[in-house]
Amino acid sequence: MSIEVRNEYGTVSISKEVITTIAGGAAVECYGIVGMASRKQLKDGLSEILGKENFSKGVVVRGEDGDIDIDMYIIVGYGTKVSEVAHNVQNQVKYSLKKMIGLDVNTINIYIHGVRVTS
Amino acid sequence: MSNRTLNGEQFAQMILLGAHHLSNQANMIDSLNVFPVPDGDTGTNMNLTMTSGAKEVEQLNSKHVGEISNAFAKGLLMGARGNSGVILSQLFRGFSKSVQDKETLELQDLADALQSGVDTAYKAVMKPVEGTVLTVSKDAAKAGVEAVNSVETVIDWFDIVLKEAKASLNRTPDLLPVLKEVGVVDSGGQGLVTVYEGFLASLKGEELPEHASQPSLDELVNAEHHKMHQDFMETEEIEFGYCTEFMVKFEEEKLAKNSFDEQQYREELSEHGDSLLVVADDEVVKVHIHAEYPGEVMSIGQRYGSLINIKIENMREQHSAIVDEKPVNTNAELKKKNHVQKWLL
Repeated sequence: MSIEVRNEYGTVSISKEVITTIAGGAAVECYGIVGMASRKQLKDGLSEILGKENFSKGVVVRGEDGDIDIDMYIIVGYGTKVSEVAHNVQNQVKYSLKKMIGLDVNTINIYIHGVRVTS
Repeated sequence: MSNRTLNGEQFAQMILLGAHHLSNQANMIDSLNVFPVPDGDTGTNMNLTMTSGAKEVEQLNSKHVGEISNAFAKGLLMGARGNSGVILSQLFRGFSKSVQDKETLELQDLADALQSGVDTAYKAVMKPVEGTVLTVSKDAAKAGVEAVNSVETVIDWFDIVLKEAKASLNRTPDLLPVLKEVGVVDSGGQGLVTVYEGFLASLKGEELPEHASQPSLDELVNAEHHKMHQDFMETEEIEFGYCTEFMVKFEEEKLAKNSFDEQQYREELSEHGDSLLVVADDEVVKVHIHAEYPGEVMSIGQRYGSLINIKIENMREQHSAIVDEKPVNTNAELKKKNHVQKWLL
């Protein structure tokens, strides 16, 4: 499914893949995030082997009729204030989607999938 | 105690003054905030974080540097707000890890601790964005480590650290395009420089300059405009249509009749529009405001003197030009005809 934007010249359709990538790209630049947790192991494993940058890892976009919900599975760095990091991610993802494709998302749900301890 | 040592009392004082200085400058830092989300809260967030850290230090009432730094880091962590706040808390978590067993600090310890803070901070992010508070802290710590053997006192050493932090702050627009576009330095970086300014002033036992690193009016105007373009998605939403900038050169005779009070003047103007910036000295007052009736605003200014350097721009015209540039597949006709794209889902 894709999101369609209609104007007097025709239709612009934006695929879910695009939303996923923008959301993932915004998240990995967020301070406190050290990784994303894979939801599709086969696909993510493949891109890893191919050495491709994979922004869609750990991001699930659900939605119909313009009601878009995003689930993000993240791994945070040990010693950060996790609630604040999660809040920052939501804020940043929302802003990026609004700015780049004019999309207002319904919800952005953050699942803290792990805490990484680095010595 | 030699000049190359820092004791607990001094360290606690540094933290308190750093926090105090930051809270004085919080509004100014807010106004620089354009990245990652231009919501103008960096200063507020950093201030809340820093205040929480300073409170822990006050309650602890210890003279052991390790304990103080531990309490400070804990307070920062608990009170961390926003991206910059979380980063600040990480910087000092690393700092405190490095000094936890030390009652006083030698210069070498300080330099190591600063570096340790940076190392820790960089570990908690997957893709560090350069041109932010991270970069400023990294450059400052590097300068600190290099300077350890070439300086005599802690004060001289911190002088070098602060100088590099400021230099690094001024380089942030070269690293982060959005800063250059808007014409400001990074707000989080400015926050860290402010904290360091407080630290140094405390070491020197100096009064703090209230306007230590005030950004220029131009910078503030740029940041205001940037925020505005983000706020309004549609041209029709602009309530105050004219960006108005002018200066009033004070005249003795007029001042005799109407004495000038900056606060009062600001309040009066604020009824006529938003994005208001007023900067006054003895001779002139500079004004920037978005107003619907620029004439009225200038009449108020004329009470105090003569108008110079007047610049008025129609923002609705400008804004529709900007909005038109946004769609990717735009062409010349589309630009003329259709101001705002409706996103129908």
